[in-house]
Formats: sequence, structure tokens, C-alpha cells
Amino acid sequence: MASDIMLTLLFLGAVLAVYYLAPPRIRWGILLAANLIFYASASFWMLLPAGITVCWSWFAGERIEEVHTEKGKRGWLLLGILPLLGVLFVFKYFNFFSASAASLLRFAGFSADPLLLKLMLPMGISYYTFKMISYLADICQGKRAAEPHMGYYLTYVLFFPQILSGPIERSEGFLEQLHRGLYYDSELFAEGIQRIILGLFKKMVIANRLSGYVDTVFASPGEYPGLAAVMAAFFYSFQLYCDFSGYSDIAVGMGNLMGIRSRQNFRCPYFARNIRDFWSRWHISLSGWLRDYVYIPLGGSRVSKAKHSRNLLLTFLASGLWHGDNWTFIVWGGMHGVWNLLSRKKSTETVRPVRRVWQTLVTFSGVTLGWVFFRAENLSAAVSYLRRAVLGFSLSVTDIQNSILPFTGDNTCAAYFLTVCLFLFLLFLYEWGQVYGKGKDKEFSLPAVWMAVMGISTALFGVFGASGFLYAQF
Amino acid sequence: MKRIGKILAAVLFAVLLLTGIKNEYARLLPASSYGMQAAIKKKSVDHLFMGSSMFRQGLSIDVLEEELQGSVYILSYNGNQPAFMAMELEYMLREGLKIGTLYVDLYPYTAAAAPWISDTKILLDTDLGFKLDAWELMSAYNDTKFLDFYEMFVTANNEQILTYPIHNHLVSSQFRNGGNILTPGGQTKEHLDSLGMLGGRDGLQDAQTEGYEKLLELAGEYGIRVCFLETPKYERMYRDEDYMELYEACRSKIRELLEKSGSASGKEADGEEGTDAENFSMILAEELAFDFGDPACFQDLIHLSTEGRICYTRLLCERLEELSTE
Repeated sequence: MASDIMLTLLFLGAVLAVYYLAPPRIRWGILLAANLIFYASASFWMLLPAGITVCWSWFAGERIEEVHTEKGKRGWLLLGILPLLGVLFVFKYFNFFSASAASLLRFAGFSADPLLLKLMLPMGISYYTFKMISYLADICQGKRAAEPHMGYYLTYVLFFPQILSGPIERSEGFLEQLHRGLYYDSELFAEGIQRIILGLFKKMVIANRLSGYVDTVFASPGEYPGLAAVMAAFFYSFQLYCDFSGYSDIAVGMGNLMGIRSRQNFRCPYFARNIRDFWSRWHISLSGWLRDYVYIPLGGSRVSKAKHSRNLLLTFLASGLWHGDNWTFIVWGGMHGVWNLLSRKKSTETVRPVRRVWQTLVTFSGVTLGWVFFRAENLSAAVSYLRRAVLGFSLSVTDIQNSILPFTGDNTCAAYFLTVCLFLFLLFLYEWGQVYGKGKDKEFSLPAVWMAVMGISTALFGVFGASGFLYAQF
Repeated sequence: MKRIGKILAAVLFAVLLLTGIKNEYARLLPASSYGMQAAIKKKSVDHLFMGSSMFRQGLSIDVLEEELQGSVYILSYNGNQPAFMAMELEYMLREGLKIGTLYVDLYPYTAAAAPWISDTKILLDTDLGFKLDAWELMSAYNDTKFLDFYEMFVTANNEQILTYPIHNHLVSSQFRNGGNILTPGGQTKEHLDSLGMLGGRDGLQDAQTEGYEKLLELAGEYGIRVCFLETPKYERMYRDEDYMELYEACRSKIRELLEKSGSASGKEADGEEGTDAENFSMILAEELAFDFGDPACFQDLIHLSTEGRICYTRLLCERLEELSTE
């Protein structure tokens, strides 16, 4: 169920029917049951690490609040967080560090075989672990009280629309809504439908359509012209954005249908004019989390220049590592860290449109370069890919034809390519309106015409079938 | 919320309307230079070659037009199966196409597969009735799901229709009278030897043999001469037990059907049996002096290169000439 968005939406429909038939005071219980069913449908046994860590963090939260000394609070915070990070480490990073250590030892002349664990990664572990850490940190810092109702806390951590790919919702807003009661709000319900339509359009019409091309070219870039490698890199940028932000839109929309408000996770990131601007628009819940729980505790920017640089780099390296157990992610994070260091402060000055477009294109191209590392199997594959893109690049007619061919492998490739371009242009127009047009003052808007266009496009041009979400693997 | 409901209802209505129009009327779009609609537009074809990509890659329209008397048309769809070839023939005859001689692709793997349309151009060339019949056939032999139905009736070909002026222009420039005019090169022996074989199948499918039967029935009814053709495969294929097993089964089934049809017996080009070869015949690649081991003649194990296509088509035309004089 978790790997198929249409099944997830059907499940949501069934949940909503029961949810709104029940009195508001027990709706949290229905939601909790739905969370558990959803999680168990992916892997029943994975409920065990999830359940244990959630219970532990709830207990630790209580202890942090009960203790009145700063030292005691910090002690309990550490006690609370360490097991959570330990579980995350064992499931997600142990093999990576073990293999890296063995490689290092071999490089130093010792014989070493890595110890590898055969464990299945629990669904959403990176997301729910971060939720629990922020919950404990907030209690320790006095930003919130410990949640007395364990059921509410479980409902928050395992909230099924967000368990797979986020957003990493903060506890304060979510739990407050549970305490207030979950009521039907027609305006919010309508907004939820709009968000789901927007998300489905991004995911089904654009991301799924691009995935075949991107996978084909990234799998063997040497077999295609350099132009294809360049195209696949840019298409991957769009695929990743549409896949991830599409899921976020759907997840937030699903919450809206149940009367739960969540924060926006993306704000047209490819319209960013510099890298800092980009990070204020991309995966906002994660960048906000890293800012509040890594960057600021390290000292943030209110320290010496050298320490500030260290803090920034460490934050971005942590961001890279969060994404996965591969050096490619660490390089990607490091690259963004350095770029952030080198870039000037977030530009807010008004500049001429031509300069604005130039800044946007430069930022987008730089981000795309980073995505090549993010997407590649390993570092040498990323370097080979970039070599192919640069050294094999030409705009001959044959190369153009061979660069479009991987879309379908037959004579319909041009139609697919043009269709993708058309839908990317439609998305660009919509987002332009959100950034510079009527939508710029609103957190979210999907005018009726756009809703109709995206709805019809999804029904007629959606690429359906079971297809997971890229960010679910992180 | 009411506004959203109205928009959703309008979207649903628009999708249903557009889907209905597409399935019934997309075939009326200006015809390309290949496919059924382009053939129907000709009203009459003396030599119609009907098959899969074996024909698309294996027959040279230039050589056929040069060597055969009368008009020539190659109708090829990727993975075109006998069951659907019969439906296509029936559809074109119903639409008024006159055919002199029909050459049918004898490719055992299509005869061993459960009925399925793998080239959606077939759907673009036909009306709703054809599609419903095709769906019924596919459902009878496959575990079809709603998603398959949705893809066939709702999403299939939408990209081609949306970009029709450009797409049709681009694709049509690759064909003339249904014949592929692109010139793919051959391969090296190393490459062809490195390719994986296509594996075994569970014998011929009933639906496909019924398709051959239906083809012969229609040909008899409309007085069309029929010739089954096997295009050359790379030599490794003829050493492959799985392929040869299917090949033998397919060949004997066709012979059996020709005999059963009563109007003629299957006569192979070597003339080893049969008497009435005028209306029904079969020409196997092995009967021609084709170099099956020349890698320059092949794009892969089953598709011919430009060089192989020209060579095979010339040999085929010579054989057809011999047959007509015998």
C-alpha cells in the first residue's frame, strides 16, 4: 500500500468515511489505528523498532519535564536521544561505516572484511526519528510541555500520510490540533483536495514520466551522447522535485482532509536566485529541523567566522548523511555547504529581470550539478557521468535524435519528449504565478483553471502503476 | 467546497468526453505514412505485407517496389500477433481495402504469446469497436487489471495526439508505404554473440493459431492470395533449441491449417508437397541463399540491418518470381 499512491488514496478514502462518522473526540483513535494498519501493511515486524522508540521517547519526554535541573534535563535528553540515534545508526548506517572502515584498513595495509548486517530499513525511520528528537529537544529547551497522552503522541509520530517521505512535522502544531479536536473544516477540506490534485499532477504526469528516461541514461551514460547525459541531469532535477514535492503536497493535502494543518515543505525552489534562497524553499521541514537542532546548537552564525563556517559545513554534511549511507550524499552535502559559505547573504534587493533570470538559471544549474552526485551509485559513477556530459557533448542532429530516443526506445520518443516539455512549461507557468504573480502573498493557491488543467492532465497523461517515491528510500 | 465539487465534476466530464472522442475518432487524424489508416487510404494494394517488427526491419520497400509488379504496402506493428493481424485484416477489408496478395509474418514468438497489443499505434488506427474486441480477447487470455484497461482506453496515444502535427511529421518521414526507410547498420559478431537468447515458451497459443485460421478464412472469402514469410534470424537462433521447437511447431501448424482450409495445401518453396500453390504458400528463410552468419546483416539476433534487409528482400522477390512461374 505504501508504495502505491493510488492505493494510499483509496485507503485514505476508507479512513475518512469512518473518521467523519465518528464523534470528533475519538477521531484521534481512528487516525492512530489507520497509522498502525498503514505501517503494518508495509512491514508488520518493523512496527517493533518504531513502537519501542516511540514509547521510549515519550517516556524520556516525561522525565525531561519532571527533572528541574538543567543538568538533569540535558542528561535525560541525551538518554532519550541516544537510543533513537542508535536504532537509526544500526538500521541505516552500520553497514556503510563498517564497509568504509574496512576499506580504510585495507588501504592502510591491514586485511579486514566488513561486518555487514542484513536488516530491512524500517519505513520512514529517518523521518520519525527526527520528529522524536525535535520533540525531546523542544521539551528540554522549554519550548513545549511533554505530551501527557501517549495515544496522541503515537498518532503524531506515526501519522501515516507523512511517515513515508515527510514533511518532518513539528510536534507543537500537530499535537495542539489533536488536543483541540479534529473537526471538519470545509475550507481546509477543499484546500486538501487542491493540494492532492497538484501533487498528483507533479508526481504522475511529470516525475513518473521522467523516471524511465533518467534511469536509462544514468544506468549507462557511456551508451548515450553527452547531450543525453546533460538532459538526464536536468530532467532528474525536475523528477526529484516533482516526485518529492508532489508527495509532500499529497501528504499535506491528506492531512487537510482530516482537519489537520501542516506546513508547506516546498516553495518553488527552482525559482531561487542563490543557494541560500534555494535552501529556504527546498525540503523546508528538513532544513528548518537542521537549522534548529544542529546548526543553532552548534553556535549558528553568532560565533567567529571560522566556527560559523564549521557549523554550516557540519550542518550540510549532516543533511547529506541523513539522505543515505553513501559517500555521494556526503559529497553532495559538502558541496552545498561550501557553496553556502561562498555565497553572499540572501539577496533581497530588487534587480533587473534579466539579472534575476540569470541568477535563477545559475542557481538551478549548480543545484543540478549537485543532483548528479545525489543520483549516482557511487563517486566514480558520478565523475564518469560528468565526464560523459562534458566531453561527449555535441549538438549534431544524430546526437539530438539519440538523446531523445531513450524516452521510449521507439518512434514515439519525440511525442513523449515534447509532452514532458509541455507539462514542465505548464508547471513553470503555475509556479511563476506563485512566485511573481497573484499567488505570491499566499502560502498556497490553486486557481480553478489550474485545478481543471491539472486534473484533466493527470487523468489523461498520468503514468500510473506501482511506483514508489524517491524520498521514501531516505 | 461546492466550487471544488463542480470543478471535479467538470474535470470528470471532460475526461470522459475526450476519451470517448479519442477512441472513436482519433483514427480520422491525417494519416501517416504507415499503419492501417494509411493502407486503407490507398483503397487497393496488390502486395500487402502484414507483420511485426520482423517485417518493419526485414523488408526493403525500395526493393519490393522495384521487383514486384503493382502497388506494395508494408503493415507492421511492433510485436504484432497473428490474433490481432486477423482482426486488422478484417478491419481493413471492412473499411473497403482491396488486397491482391497478403504476405504474413511467420515469427514463432508472436504465435506463442498470450494476446496482447504491444504497439499502441494499432489503437490509434482503429475505432472503438475494434478496441473493445481486442480488449475482450486480451482479457480472455490474460489476468488483466483495471490499470491495463485504463492504459488502453484512457492514456494510450495521448502523447502522440497532443503533439500530432510534429509527431506525425517526424514519424512519417521514417516510412514510405509502410516501409521503414531508416538505415540501421549491422553489428559485430562479438556483439551478437553477447546477446541473450529469447528463452522458451509453452508452445503455441490457441488464440494465435485461431488468428492464423481466421486470416486464411478471410483470405479465402475475399479471394486474397496468402504467403507466409519467415525473415532470417541470426545463426545462433537456429542453434537455439527453444526457438527451433517453436519454429517447428509454428511451421507445422501453418501447414496443417493450409491443408485444413481445403482450398489449397501448404506448399513450401522447395515444392516438396502440395499442388495448389497459387493461393497459399510459405517461404522460409532457410530456403533462400541468405548468409545467416554475416553479422553485418543483423541489428540484433532477430532484426535485419539495412544490408540484410536489402539482401533478403531481393532473394525473396526472386523466390516469389520463381513461384509464380512454376
